[in-house]
Amino acid sequence: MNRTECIDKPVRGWLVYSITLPTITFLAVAAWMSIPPDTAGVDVAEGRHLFVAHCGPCHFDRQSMPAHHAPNLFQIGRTAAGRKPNQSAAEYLLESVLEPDAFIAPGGRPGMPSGITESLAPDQIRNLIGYLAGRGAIPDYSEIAGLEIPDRRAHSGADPVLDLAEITMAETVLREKGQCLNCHSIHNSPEDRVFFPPLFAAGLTDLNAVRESIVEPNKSIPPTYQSSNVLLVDGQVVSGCLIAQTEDQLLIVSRDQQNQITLRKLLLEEIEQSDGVPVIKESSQSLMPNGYAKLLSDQEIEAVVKLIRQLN
Amino acid sequence: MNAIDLCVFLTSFSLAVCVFAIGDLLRSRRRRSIMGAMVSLIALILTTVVGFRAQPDRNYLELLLFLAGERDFSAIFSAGLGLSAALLWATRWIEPFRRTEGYDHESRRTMSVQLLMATSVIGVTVCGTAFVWKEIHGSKRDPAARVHADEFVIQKVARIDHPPIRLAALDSNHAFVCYDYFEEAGTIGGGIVRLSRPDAAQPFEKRIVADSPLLMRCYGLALRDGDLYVSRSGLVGQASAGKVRYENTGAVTQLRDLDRDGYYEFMDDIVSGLPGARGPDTMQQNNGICFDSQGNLFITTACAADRTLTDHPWDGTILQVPAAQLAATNSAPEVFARGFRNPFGITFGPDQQLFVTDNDVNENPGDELNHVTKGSHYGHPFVVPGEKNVPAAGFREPVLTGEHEWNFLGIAYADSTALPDRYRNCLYVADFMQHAIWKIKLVRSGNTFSVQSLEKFASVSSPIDIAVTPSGDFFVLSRNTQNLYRIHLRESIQHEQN
Repeated sequence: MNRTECIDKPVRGWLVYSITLPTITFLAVAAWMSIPPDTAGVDVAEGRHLFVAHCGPCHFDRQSMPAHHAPNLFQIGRTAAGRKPNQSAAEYLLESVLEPDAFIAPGGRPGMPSGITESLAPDQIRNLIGYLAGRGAIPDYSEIAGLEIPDRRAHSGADPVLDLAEITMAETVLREKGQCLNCHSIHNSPEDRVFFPPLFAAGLTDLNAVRESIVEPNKSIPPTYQSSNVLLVDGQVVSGCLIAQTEDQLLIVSRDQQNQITLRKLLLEEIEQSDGVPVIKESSQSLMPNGYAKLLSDQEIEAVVKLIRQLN
Repeated sequence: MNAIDLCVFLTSFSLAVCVFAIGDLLRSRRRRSIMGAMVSLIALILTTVVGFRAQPDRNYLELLLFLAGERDFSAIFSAGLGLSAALLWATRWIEPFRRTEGYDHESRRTMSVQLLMATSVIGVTVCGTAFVWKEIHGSKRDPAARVHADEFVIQKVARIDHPPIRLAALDSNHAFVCYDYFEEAGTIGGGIVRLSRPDAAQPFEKRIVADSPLLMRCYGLALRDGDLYVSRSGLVGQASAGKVRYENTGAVTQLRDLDRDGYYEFMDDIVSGLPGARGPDTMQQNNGICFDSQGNLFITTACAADRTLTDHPWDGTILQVPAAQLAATNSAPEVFARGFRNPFGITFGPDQQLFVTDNDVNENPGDELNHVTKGSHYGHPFVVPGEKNVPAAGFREPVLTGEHEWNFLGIAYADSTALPDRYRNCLYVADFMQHAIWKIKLVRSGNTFSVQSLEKFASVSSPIDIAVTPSGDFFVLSRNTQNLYRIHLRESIQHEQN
């Protein structure tokens, strides 16, 4: 067939077809793309909601948002896949959620609370993993659906009623009567954890431990905040929390004579040495005052515990 | 050109090429045309898939329809660029020269091809230049602003030179807009621009009436007795031996035009020591301000963190400064109500009651409209709408909780007798994310109010604030387009009302 013949042949409706075919193709692809993926029962929408509620206080999941509380998880679905050998993205994410300190990612830092998901059912954690795995990657939902997730809810009690009067009482204790906020931070950035444990996320651990730390602060001191006694050459003993030691000085947080928390720099030449090593002994005394059991009523202590439980 | 613009370009280009290629195939029935048609179909499929990947949280088709509906500047020129570039493929539609026909036919064909090519070049040049123009002059997307009520019309008053924040209106001919800036070179500051006209027949003119580094972060603006009042903040932190602290940099500043030259040169902090912007989340600070009929000042202050207490007991509160104290050197605010996260808009509504919009936790569907009563607690940070399901007692419920990605900012109450009944005694709320102005009619319900009706009153790109004049005119401020709009009754309706 030569060119002249083909043009002479009548072509009916070519214009209509040439417009409708691409349009239908476009709409068909659009409709196909709009079909939600088969998530094998993983509820990604609920996962996003849980992320906002439980992880959102520290993590962002949008590009160009800050990471001063915790890493930005915008691409976590992609990066998680290569974090640990022989571990899929879903497995890594599950481990990170359940046991945050099991592996610290390059450039990351410890400090994520371990009880963040203790109020969640296994399926809710699965949904959360499903949402995170989809950040920057196409998740294997069948694998996520098959993850074995322990039910840890038995460790956490039912939610108590949050009463405004109690909360107000507790806030007054924290700010005024107990002066707690003079030392403890209510945020959870690294700079808030230098001297004392922050109150933020403290309630995610065992609440009995929180109560005990108020009433008997010396009973169980976190290793990071363990006190030490430093013997000086002039016979004085400086007690406090040793936060840094360099070749020529120690940085120690202690209470001064006015009972105020101060950061002291002790030069090595000021410190008594034994065989060339500074004499530093661990102390069983916490820097936290020991009199809160008498200063505060039982009702106030319970209110403070209840308030701390909410700070996360 | 951002990712969305590129997707619009690719879609428009591939769709147009596809039309021309398939048209050529159907018309000519040449085997060699199959290649072009197939490749263009594949390109169309691929670009559609890419479009869906451009915004993971939004359906691409819905996005295209939204952009088309808004007559989006960038989208229109992206589509134009794609279409113009694809026009070259239409030359294949031009009927080939046949040896049996004469010179005139060949000449007509050549002319048609040249015309198409010229159109393509002109289209690409114009649309490309429009993008360059946009980049050079910083033109912002300007989707169509429209009012959904037939009785009203919407007009653009002016474009503000810097991203605007708040708005105050004196009457239909005078409005004030405050803005701040953070120049690339590091210069920071803020200012207030006045939009005014001698009468309704004249166009509005812009004049900067205050500009100072002191006015950076001016997130609240009010007018009273000819003076301007600005709620402003700095951000100053100190690190001392490992302890980070933030200064209380928030203040309400009175600006006066002492010599009546139109520039407000006298500034006086009538309230200072407000928490202001501070870490860890520096987006929030003291925001909206308003006076009641007795001259008492109300100030909204935001929290610097979510789901935890804040350093300053005034964070997340509505503060009241009695009128008698405003003249004093050191006026001391009292906490009027608490439990807010980022209260932004504040106004007196029906029954002279105080209403406040409150932005909830990021990405949480829970922006609130609150009826504020003295001594009440509104939940933050302990009760977050839709989250954790904590049983709570003693906290006050919001009048209205927004849906996902509703973002309540500025608020105004319209009680002008010039307005038709349907629009009178309603609250009007600017919704930044929904690009909407909501009209909310409230009815008394015990000691608070309930929503009788909620309607979309107008669509404006990223509205951040709204004000109503005594004569029933609305001013609406758009953050992203930097435009100030005026919504007013049609003249015919005005006559009926009178």
